Parts: sequence; structure tokens; C-alpha cells
Amino acid sequence: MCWTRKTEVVPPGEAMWKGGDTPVSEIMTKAPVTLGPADTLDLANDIIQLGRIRHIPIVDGGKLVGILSQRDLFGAAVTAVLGITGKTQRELLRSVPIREVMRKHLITIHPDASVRQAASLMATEKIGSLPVVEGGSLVGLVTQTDILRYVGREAL
Amino acid sequence: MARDGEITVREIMMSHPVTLGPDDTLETANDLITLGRIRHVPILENGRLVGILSQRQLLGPCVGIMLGVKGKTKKALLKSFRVKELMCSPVFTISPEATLKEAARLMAEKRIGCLPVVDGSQLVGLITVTDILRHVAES
Repeated sequence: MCWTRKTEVVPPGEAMWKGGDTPVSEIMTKAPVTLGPADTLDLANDIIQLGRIRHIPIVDGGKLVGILSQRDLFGAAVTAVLGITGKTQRELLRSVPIREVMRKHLITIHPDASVRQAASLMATEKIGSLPVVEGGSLVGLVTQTDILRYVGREAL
Repeated sequence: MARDGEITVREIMMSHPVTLGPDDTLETANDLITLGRIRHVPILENGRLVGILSQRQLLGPCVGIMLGVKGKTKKALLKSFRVKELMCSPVFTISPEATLKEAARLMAEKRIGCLPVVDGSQLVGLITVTDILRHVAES
């Protein structure tokens, strides 16, 4: 599918979204950083900080088993800290495997689904990213930022 | 500024967002964010926008703060901090006449989830990434 930029001026009030049909595969990150369920939170934290990313798909034996977001990390840290004292945040994070805090109830999307469908899912489910899955394997990740960049690029 | 036919921020922003003052406590902010199911609160002082507090800022520093504090409940901790100690300031804002495209670009570039909409010095609304997603979804 190919979407071309609309150049003619649309009369006010009749403006229509022309590009919502674009497939997710065109705006997704194709090789997202992944981690395994036995990896610990300190590693996830480093990746999130250094890579300036907010979501890490968790893969086990080639299969998507969860997603870890910056938000989950904060939550885990707050909970852990309330019960434990005298440890640094880093030590705390190192003691928790990802499988204990990752979200396992996964909402995924197909690469051929439209950007419109991805936006709708993210808005209704209140989630910041969708793993893109085809034939059982992870092929990409699409985030709210990808959709913002897309809206910023394309004509409305 | 909007060209003919382009959607403007005014058309999809939320008017009259809930606001707090810089001297309100984090406990109040936390209640507002939790009960109102919102993620961003503009902070006003004498009618002027001075900052923005997001759920993210509320969670992040709590981790650090709690590491140093013993024997306090989360509630007591939140009560002991004021909004101005954690709010994000200065704030990126946008005009109601800017295009949706400009708002999306600014949010993506600055990695922020929301922009207070300011007309002159007056806060007139709030536009969030969720508003933009809904707009795409309903297109």
C-alpha cells in the first residue's frame, strides 16, 4: 500500500484524514530491543534510560511473552522500596526478574493493520505501545510516538 | 498557523482542564490524578501557567524519596511535598490556532504526552497524546 501526500487545499470544515489507512508496518520500529523474562530490572532500567525508550517486548524462545514499560518499572520500584530499606535502587532492581513485573496480558497488532486501528487500540486500552506480531513472532513495535511522528509528517 | 483545511489544536483540545496551585500537596495531586483518571495537571499561580505535573513525575521521584525515608506511609510522604517541588517548569505550550500536525511534532520531538494550550497568557485548554490518538482513530 502506498500513501501519497495530498497537496491540494481542502476547504475548511471539510478536512479529512487521508492517511489513517497506512499499514502499521510502515511506521513501526522494525527491530525493537527485546529482553528475556529471566533478565533483571536493572538491565531493563539501563536500556530504558540509555536508549530513551519506554517499552521493551519480552521474548522467550522466539515467542513474545510480555511487555515491560517504564511505568511498570516505576511501580515495581515503589512497591519494593516501601517494604525494603537499606538497599540502593540499583541493588533492588537487580533482585527482581522481569517476569515478576512484566505485563502478560498482551494486546498486539498485525503489521497489515492500519495506523487508525493502532491509534484506536492505544486510546481505548490506555497503552503506549503495541507489539507487532505476525504468525506468532514479533516483527516490530509501534508506539504513541510513532503515531505522533506520523501525524506530524502527513497531511490531515 | 493553520492553513485552510488543516485541523487546529482548538478543535480537539480539552477546554477547562483541572488545575492546581504550586503550593498544593502531592497528596491532592495524587488524588486528582487517580480519581480523575488523568495524567497531566497544569499548575497555575495567579492565573498564570507556571508548570505542569504529570503522573510520571509523581512516580519517579517517589522512588528516590522513599529510599531515604523510613516509617512513613506513602500518604504521609505525598502530603509532605508541594507541587512546586516536583512540577516540570518551564513548560512547552502551544497556541489554539496551531495545527494538529505542529502539536504532534512538538510532542514527539520533546517526548512529552501533553501540551497546555495558551492564548496570550491565558490557559485555554490541554491537548494530550490521547486526544491525537482518538482523532486518528475516528478519522
